[in-house]
Amino acid sequence: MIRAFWFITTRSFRNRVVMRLKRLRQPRYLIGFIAGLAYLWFMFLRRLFFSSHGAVRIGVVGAGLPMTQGAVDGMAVVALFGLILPWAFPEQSGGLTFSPAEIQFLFPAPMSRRALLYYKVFRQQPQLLISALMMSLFGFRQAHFYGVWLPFVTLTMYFTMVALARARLKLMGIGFWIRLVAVLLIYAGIGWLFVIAFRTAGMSTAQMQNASAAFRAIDTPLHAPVINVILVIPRIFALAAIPLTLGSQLMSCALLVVMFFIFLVIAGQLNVSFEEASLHASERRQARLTRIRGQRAGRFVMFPRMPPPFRLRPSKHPEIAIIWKNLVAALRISVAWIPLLIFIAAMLLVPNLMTHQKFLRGVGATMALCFAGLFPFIGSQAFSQDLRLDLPDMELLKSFPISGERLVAAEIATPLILTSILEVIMLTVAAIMTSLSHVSGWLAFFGTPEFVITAMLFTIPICAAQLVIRNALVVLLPGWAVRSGEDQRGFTVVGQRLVMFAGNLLVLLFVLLPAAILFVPALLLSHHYFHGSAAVLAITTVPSVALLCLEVWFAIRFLGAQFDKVDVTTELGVATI
Amino acid sequence: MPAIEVINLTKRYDTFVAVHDFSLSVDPGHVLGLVGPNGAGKTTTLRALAGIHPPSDGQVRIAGHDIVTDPVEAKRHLAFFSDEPRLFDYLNVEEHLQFTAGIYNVPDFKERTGPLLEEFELLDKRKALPAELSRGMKQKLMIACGLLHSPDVMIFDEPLTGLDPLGIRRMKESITRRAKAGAAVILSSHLLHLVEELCDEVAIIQGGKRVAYGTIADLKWQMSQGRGDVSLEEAFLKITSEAP
Repeated sequence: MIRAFWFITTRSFRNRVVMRLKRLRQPRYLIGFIAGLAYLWFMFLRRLFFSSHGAVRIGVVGAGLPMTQGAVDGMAVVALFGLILPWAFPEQSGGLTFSPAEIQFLFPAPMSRRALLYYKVFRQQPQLLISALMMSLFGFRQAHFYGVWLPFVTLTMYFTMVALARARLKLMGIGFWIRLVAVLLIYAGIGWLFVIAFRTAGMSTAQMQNASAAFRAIDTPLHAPVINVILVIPRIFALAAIPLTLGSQLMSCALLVVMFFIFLVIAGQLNVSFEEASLHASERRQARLTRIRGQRAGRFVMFPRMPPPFRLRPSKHPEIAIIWKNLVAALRISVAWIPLLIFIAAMLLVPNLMTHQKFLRGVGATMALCFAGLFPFIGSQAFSQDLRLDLPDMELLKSFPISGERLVAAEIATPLILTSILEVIMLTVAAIMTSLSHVSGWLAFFGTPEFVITAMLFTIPICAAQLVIRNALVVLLPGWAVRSGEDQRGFTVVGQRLVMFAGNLLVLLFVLLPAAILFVPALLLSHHYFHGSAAVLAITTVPSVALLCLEVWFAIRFLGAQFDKVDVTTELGVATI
Repeated sequence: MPAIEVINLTKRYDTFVAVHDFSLSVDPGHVLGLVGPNGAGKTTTLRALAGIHPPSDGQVRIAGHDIVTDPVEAKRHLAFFSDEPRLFDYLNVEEHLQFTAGIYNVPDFKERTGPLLEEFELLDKRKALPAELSRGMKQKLMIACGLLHSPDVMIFDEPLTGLDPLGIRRMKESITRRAKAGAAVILSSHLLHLVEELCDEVAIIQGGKRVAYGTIADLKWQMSQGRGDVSLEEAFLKITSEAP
């Protein structure tokens, strides 16, 4: 049996690594991997390998905690709290979490409950190893990896044992409330002992003069005889992770190994019927994962009963049905953004109106302007009820009797309507605030009617350009836009996001540049020859706005043509032949 | 004029040929069964017929309209039912039908919605979101949406997956009734008794190639070779085992 467990654990781990390496042959993963690696290097690893002067660090790579008795004692107190707490958890079914495949294969297999328990212990190891490796790299370098890994392994075994013990206690008539009261009493008792220890040690204000003296003053009571007894086991965990000496660490590690086997034997002896509870736990876990993935993809239906904004009537224009569908989706998925944005606007506007300080008003106005300026980015992310939302249903979209061009335009229309309205509100608030702040210099322009008119004219095409860029990714590189369930974390995903963000900025810059070049002479013309007349500026702005609209229109036509050609089978990896 | 006409359809993925030189035609009022082993190319063929992915070569005409050059008009006459129900998470049952009516311009959808919901036992689930439906119910909703605009051409990919016995019976009755009313139907299924029960003709596909095509009676006659009657299952196994 152990051989089978060893086989599945090592083979799963190996296959996972091989699969991740193999998929680097796909450009989206390779580029994401390289970008993620670069990010990891520049943000973390470079600092670990090299000092600020560029010299190579000598010794073990990794950041470290201070190796002091105080750190050990602090961690021991935290560990004590953590070791007692699980006894008060409400879950009392003893359900160990297994994957659906594990339930399918192992539960009907001729295996004892103890064997299933051993299996869980085996299967936890790869994840624990990686977590321990990361922690020893980024926070506990002096622990030499095993000093982090062994406490993890023992703690996990302890939590499993406590989960089964809760179930056993329930069978004995000791339910959640009794356990909760018992745990609270234990906490109160320990707290009382700590208070006595601190009182006995006595602390003067003189001891609080500097940090190290204060730290010593706090640490002394933790070595009172009673407290020493209470902290015996938590200190074993702490001394493994924060070794004061090599000897103390090795001793702690040996004790942890012994404790692990004691917990394992106890858990095995408890013999709780956890199968049914595990089934429910597995279902709950799957539902939670689906919900989290849904939320990350902007698909979580937050308000399922929100009524549609208007009654859809059949017409010769299927575009209206698509806009209606996306509006319903926006109301049910993203509507929470609207009160949030109104709240932000109010938080910026109200204090600004109440204060008479010019400087504070200027700061508020600048913040509002920055927020309004960034909103096309934020809005396009908040209201993603377009092709991004429908990507998993691409097959369905392609079966609709509508051309790609009209479909793309209709899909973008809903987020465009919403972001444009909100952007106009934001800009108006920002302009009012700027005008009221009486700021001088170039910032004053943002409080003028000329700015308001120009901004209003540019709002829709700029929001449209940003949305077209976002949707272009779905049409041109759907593989980048869709992620598998396993891709929710990891630096490859971070890398992919960085690449997409950089690409978004670059394309937007490329799109806006011609319109900006055309706009500058218009601005100078109205400013120099017509005293900044708002009417003249509005008229002279029209060509650059028209140019931007033209670019967006061509982009939609191009994307539409590409949508008609895109093969969802190959792009989205639909495996069925 | 055939309602569905497939001429030398080929679909390639890089160097892999999923469907090769495949032809068939279905007249209005006829039901054709598309059968083949796993990985034979059935779903690829059906997706190409529905305009979901473009053919690499060949021609597909739906109600006289080319699916590549005149896709919108072709799709107006078409309903594609995939084996996996694809629904919008944020629309309830009634709104799915409302949306479909908007897409296909069905002015009398209110009159059609009630009978369809009743036929597929979804009346008491009108306000339910897909997350609140079982797989079979989702399948029924997808079929109801597909039937709302009374398509001339219906393409079913494993239509009975997930349906309960009553649902299966109603689905079979629905297909037969609509075929009698003049719809051309292509039905892909591994359930050969279903194909035998509902279809007039059958096309067997293996390795992306058509290995047999004709009426069920003809195929069975050819395969019996004077030994008397054989079932479609026996004929299928014989054809697919003999094909290169």
